[in-house]
Amino acid sequence: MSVNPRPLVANIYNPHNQSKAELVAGFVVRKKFFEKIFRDIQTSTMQNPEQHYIIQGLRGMGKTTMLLRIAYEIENTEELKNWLIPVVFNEEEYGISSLSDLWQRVAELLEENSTEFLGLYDKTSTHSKSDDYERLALDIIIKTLQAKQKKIILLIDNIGDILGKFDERDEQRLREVLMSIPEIRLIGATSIFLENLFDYKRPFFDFFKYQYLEGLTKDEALDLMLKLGEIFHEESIKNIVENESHRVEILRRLTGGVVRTMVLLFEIFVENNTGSAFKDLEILIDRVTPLYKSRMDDLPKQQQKIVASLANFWEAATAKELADSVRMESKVVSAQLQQLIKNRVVTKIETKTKNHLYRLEERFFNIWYLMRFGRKTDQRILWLVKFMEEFIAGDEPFLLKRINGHLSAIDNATLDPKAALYLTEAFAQMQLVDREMANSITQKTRNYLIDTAPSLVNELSFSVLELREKADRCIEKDDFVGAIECLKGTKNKELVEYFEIAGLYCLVEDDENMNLWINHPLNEAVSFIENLIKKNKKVSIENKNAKEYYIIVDRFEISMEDNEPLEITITNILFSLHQNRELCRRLINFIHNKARKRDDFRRVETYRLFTLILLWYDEFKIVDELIFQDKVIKLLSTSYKIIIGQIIVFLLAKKQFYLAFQLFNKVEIKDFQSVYFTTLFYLKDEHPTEYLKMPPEMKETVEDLVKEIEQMAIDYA
Amino acid sequence: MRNIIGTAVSGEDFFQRPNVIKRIARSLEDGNHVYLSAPRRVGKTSIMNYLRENGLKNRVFVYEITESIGDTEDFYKILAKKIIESQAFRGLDKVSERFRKATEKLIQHINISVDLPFVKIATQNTDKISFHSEFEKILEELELNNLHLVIMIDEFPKTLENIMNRKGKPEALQFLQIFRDLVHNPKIKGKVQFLLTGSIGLPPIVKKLDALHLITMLNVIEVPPLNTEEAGKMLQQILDNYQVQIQPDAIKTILEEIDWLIPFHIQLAAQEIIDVYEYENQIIDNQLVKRAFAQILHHRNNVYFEIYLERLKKNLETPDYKFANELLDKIANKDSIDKAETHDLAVKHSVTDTYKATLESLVYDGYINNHDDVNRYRFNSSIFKLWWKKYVC
Repeated sequence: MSVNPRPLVANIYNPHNQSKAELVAGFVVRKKFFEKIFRDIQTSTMQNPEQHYIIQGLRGMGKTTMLLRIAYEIENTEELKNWLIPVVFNEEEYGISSLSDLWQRVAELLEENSTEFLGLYDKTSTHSKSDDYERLALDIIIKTLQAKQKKIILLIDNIGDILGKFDERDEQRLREVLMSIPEIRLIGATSIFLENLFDYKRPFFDFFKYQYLEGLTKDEALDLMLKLGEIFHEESIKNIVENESHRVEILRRLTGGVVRTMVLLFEIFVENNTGSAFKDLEILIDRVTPLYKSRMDDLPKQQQKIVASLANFWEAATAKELADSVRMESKVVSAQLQQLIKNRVVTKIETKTKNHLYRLEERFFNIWYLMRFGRKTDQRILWLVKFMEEFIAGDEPFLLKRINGHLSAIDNATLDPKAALYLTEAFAQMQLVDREMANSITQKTRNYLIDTAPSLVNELSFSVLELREKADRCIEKDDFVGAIECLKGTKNKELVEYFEIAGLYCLVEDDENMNLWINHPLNEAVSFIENLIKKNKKVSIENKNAKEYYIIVDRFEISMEDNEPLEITITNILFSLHQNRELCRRLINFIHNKARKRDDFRRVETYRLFTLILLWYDEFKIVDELIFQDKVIKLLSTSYKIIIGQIIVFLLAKKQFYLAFQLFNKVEIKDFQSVYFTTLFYLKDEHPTEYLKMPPEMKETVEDLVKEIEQMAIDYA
Repeated sequence: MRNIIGTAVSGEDFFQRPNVIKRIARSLEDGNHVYLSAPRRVGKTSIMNYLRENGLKNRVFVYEITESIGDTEDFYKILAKKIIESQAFRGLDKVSERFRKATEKLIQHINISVDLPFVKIATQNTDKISFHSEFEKILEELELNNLHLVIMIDEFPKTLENIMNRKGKPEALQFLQIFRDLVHNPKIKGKVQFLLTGSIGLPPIVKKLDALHLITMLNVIEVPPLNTEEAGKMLQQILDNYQVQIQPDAIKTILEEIDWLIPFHIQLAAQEIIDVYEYENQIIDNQLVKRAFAQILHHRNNVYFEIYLERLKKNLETPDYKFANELLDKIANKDSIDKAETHDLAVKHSVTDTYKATLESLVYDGYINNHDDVNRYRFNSSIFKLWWKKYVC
């Protein structure tokens, strides 16, 4: 539990609110970056005009903190503080729209900074009516500095916003000043997202040295989290960093290493008691809204549509998916994407195929978009669901702990109602949360909201079970349309639910929708497998119908408990039973009951397929880091040994001998003897003794497996 | 030597260029007014800084940058202020009455607080004066005991362009005429000289005014890129400052990759090399050089290159711009282009009347050259070529 009343993200968002000591103590990342600039400051005598800098980075990357850190270090350094004064501008300086305003502000800040500059502001202001005001004001400042043997370093945040207001003359003049007056040095900071005000094409800007704040590295992310845990006495943070550092890594990747977004998401996840992180989120969103909105408005219409669509995807999408979503031609979408990439709105993720993936570069912008423009709560918190799924990475006990924390915070009535709403929505949508659990969290939250924030009650979605119950009641009353609406609202639909809805459409004689709902999952399956076929040149696509049938059967067979191509049968039955309502209802009841059962086997099958496909595409790193997690492997190796065996064989076929070998650290070798010795067959030079331990009766099996592996290596090259 | 990017350097950060300095000294000794010519980022302002700090035999230098000035009178007002505030001025003991009066008049109209023994000023004067005439007067009367005053004006072409854009061509022509008259004034000959330069070329702007005859008095000195030996030395000095260890072979590779050895590109490469070194913490070899060069073309460095594209858009009419754009695309893709092909391209864009001027400005501004073979144009800079290929083509 935090003893510091202020949430972490609030400090991260507004470093100006931190005390000097707090900021310096918490400055654990970007040390090299800072030292590099500071070394330059420290070794510069400023007898001649010095190197001027602009620090760039996405929003939330730590630019403001960096400027403050530089200022504090100058103040703390004996040999600098006597002659060099850091002049720190506010994050927003709405009053500065010309160069003379800038000098006026400098005079004001100098006066605030030290009594030795008392009266400077008034002195410069006396000339404010003069045509030459800018030069006169600067002259006064420079002469005052010279008289006191001082020099200044201007630390200007969001410098793009200020310079954007300058006319050409001011800009040229500022360049003159910076090139010829050694008393002034400038270090600016600017965001690189949607900052069209900051026009790099103007000659002025290429005379700065640009320093880029990239996303945090793996080690930096860990250091940051540890330090924050330490400063804010958060045991939960410390535990995660020390014992489950992979989660920090997931978080880093999801956020692109943007400090503020990382801390925000992390805080949302670990904090149980008050949900104040959501309040911070609201504040953050309110603050960036004018800027983001005006930048969105400035984009050409087609780009706006693409950006909106990408925001709704959250995850990376292909140009084709985008084109379908915005209903534009692919080539138009591609051209606009190029523009958006150039302007750093969108980032491209290269794939091995021509179908590259695209997503919004700044994840916080994406969060902002969803939170502001999502029509329903579930849409608004899509990012949270996706984030939690990745962050939890299949670890049910970890998730349960978090859910229990959430429920006790509701029981104790300490949780902010909005936080309760958002978190419950997110938990309920997660694949890993079963329907009973989702139902119980939803109901509890609904009761809590009725007591604490009745206006939010209607924003809470119904759980799947609630919707199914409602659908049942509708069916009992022959209200099939009502039932359809209820079932359509269910999240994470199971295959049978698609058919159930199709069946209900059949009952209301809406053939078009019936076909749509029948075909939806089938089409999805077919296109999924077809894509694989296209990519694997060895499989011919002649005799397509037969192949499709086989594929569908195969796909659905493995996804069903009883290995029966049930859906195919159901599809045919539904079509043929068009006139037989009674039979149709019985059928639906049957499917309905089936859907209530949890289907672990299906999940495991999905895991198996997913892993094999990733390996087929040589995505070894992803498999290693995301799929081969200790707990998952442990679970599989006890109940689904055959799957582990299959995956190892596939790894060997893909020449991933060491990766396969490592897996044996996570399982009981005695359960996987044949694949274990087959693996050693490939590594016998390095583990000769171990290989010799192979029991003689195993030899033949290993030889067979090696043959199989060699064939697979050819088939899945 | 520190790796200073963008800003002109001075003091120990200046890489000595004795050949260029010698040529400037010789030309000034011959009594010329000098125009330092080179594309952007070759180091012209840094050379001026060197001259200001170190001087030359029998010569004192003052430096002023007039980039923001867009008015003839403002131009002379700024120069007058600079001269009056200069060390050379303060050392004067005997002055003529005419000199004293002109100086007083200027001081009354410019906000300067200088303590000059020969000047007495009671109140500010609001009567209108001609800054250029008073400035000319003080130059005429200036006695520096056989010393020559060299007035260095940075961004002179920009001032001319500003006047042309803000006040119109006739005033720009008048500005040039006044400057020429000043330079030709026999009373200042042998005492005062001008050394001009700018980040944009002077001749193309003067050409627009159809007034090349007004700048014939300037002795043009080209500032060339560094040669391989100089560039290697400069790079080594920068890297030494950051304790970067590098294999000699890798220095050679860097220089080959940079190709057009202007200080700025050396600094840009050095910056990436330093970054790679600090990140990897291992001696820089050819493999790491490769990585550093890939980083140069990262979009974060676009700011240093986009301006070249933008200048074409700004300075050329649309058909000429399209011609230049396609020409550069072709050179980027094929390494060079035959002169005959440039004409063919001009036909395609209907710019046969103007394409030669466009080619000339591309050469002048440092985009392309035909040094090796007069019949073939190629990019000056391999880095810029790769950038063009990646971001423009």
